Order: sequence, then structure tokens, then C-alpha cells
Amino acid sequence: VSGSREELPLAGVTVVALEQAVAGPLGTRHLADLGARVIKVERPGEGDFARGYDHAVNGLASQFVWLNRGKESFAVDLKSEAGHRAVRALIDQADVFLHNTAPGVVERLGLDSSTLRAANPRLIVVNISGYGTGGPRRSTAPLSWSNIRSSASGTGGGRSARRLGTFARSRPR
Amino acid sequence: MTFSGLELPMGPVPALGEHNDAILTELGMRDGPSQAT
Repeated sequence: VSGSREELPLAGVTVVALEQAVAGPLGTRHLADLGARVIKVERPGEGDFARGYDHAVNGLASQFVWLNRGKESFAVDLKSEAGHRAVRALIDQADVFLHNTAPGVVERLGLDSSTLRAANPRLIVVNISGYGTGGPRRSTAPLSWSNIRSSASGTGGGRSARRLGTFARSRPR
Repeated sequence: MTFSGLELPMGPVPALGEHNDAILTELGMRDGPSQAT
């Protein structure tokens, strides 16, 4: 198989992503790598806040470059009637809608799975949440996916302990 | 991620709103981009 986009496994698949930081962008970057058309919906002005993490790669943030190559950027105000209509039109024609917004955001925007799939029954909706959608912390907005993962798995303390051990060993006696 | 015999493309990193015009044109909403964005 060659590397031409038309011959990639996900050629012809359109993904609309309301994403920021890492979890959403990493997922859709894999899809873009495999040939999907990924349309990244961003806030006008600032966009994905990961754009501003640093300026290490020719003026761009290293994390943003790592996670967003091969995508299209659509900067739109979802709270405006025209902006909302444009995004709905995109999603209604898409194959996948992925988001990693805080709990309740897509519902407030009228972009929840039930609403979207009523208009586009074949749409695949992917919701990346910090604590799941049914548990006691389902409404809690995560501060950091990495911290959640470390805390939930118990590896955070281990990493800290290892760092302390390394620090202790490196100190002159 | 690697696939045998498959070379994954490393496309350009988009500027913020770089594809607005093309997407709005595709949607037939090109007349009112300032309202949407």
C-alpha cells in the first residue's frame, strides 16, 4: 500500500472534532494519519488552548504540533446562531463526531448524541470523559487526564517515590 | 503506530481557522462567514 491519502484505510471518512489538549486530539490524529478527514472545531481567537503551551517548534507549541498534524481547523463561535448552524451542518454530513469537552457542554450546545443521531443515524459519537458518564463523579470536570490516570492506577505515588529515591541517591553524602 | 507496507502521511499543522473559507464554501454558507466565526 502506498502512502497516498486516497489509498489509506480511512480515506473518505469525515471526522468532526470538538477537542482540546491531548485525549481528543490524539485520537483524531491517529484517524487523520490513517486517511480520515479531520475537521477540528476551535474557538475563534484562542483556539485549542494547547496552541499556547510553548513556542518550541518554529513558533508553534510542541504538543499541538504532535497532536494536530494533518487536520483542518474551523474556528467558529458555537454560541452564535450562524456558527452553531455551520457545525451542525458539518456533523450532519460526517461519519464521526468526537469531543472531549467538560461534562454537560455538548448537551448545552445541543450537540449531544441523541440530538445528533436523530438527524444522522449512522453517525458515530465518541465522548471522552474524565470520570465516565454514569458514576458519582460524572459531572466533575477533570483538571488533567494524566493526573487522573496516575491517581486511579496508583502509579502517581510510585513515580514520586522513584523521583525521591533518585534525588536521594544523587545527593552527595 | 505502524502498519507493514503502509506509510502514514504527516500532514501540515493547521493555523487557527485556516480552513474556514473552504469549509463555509463547501457548506454553502460563504456569504456569512463573519457571523459564523
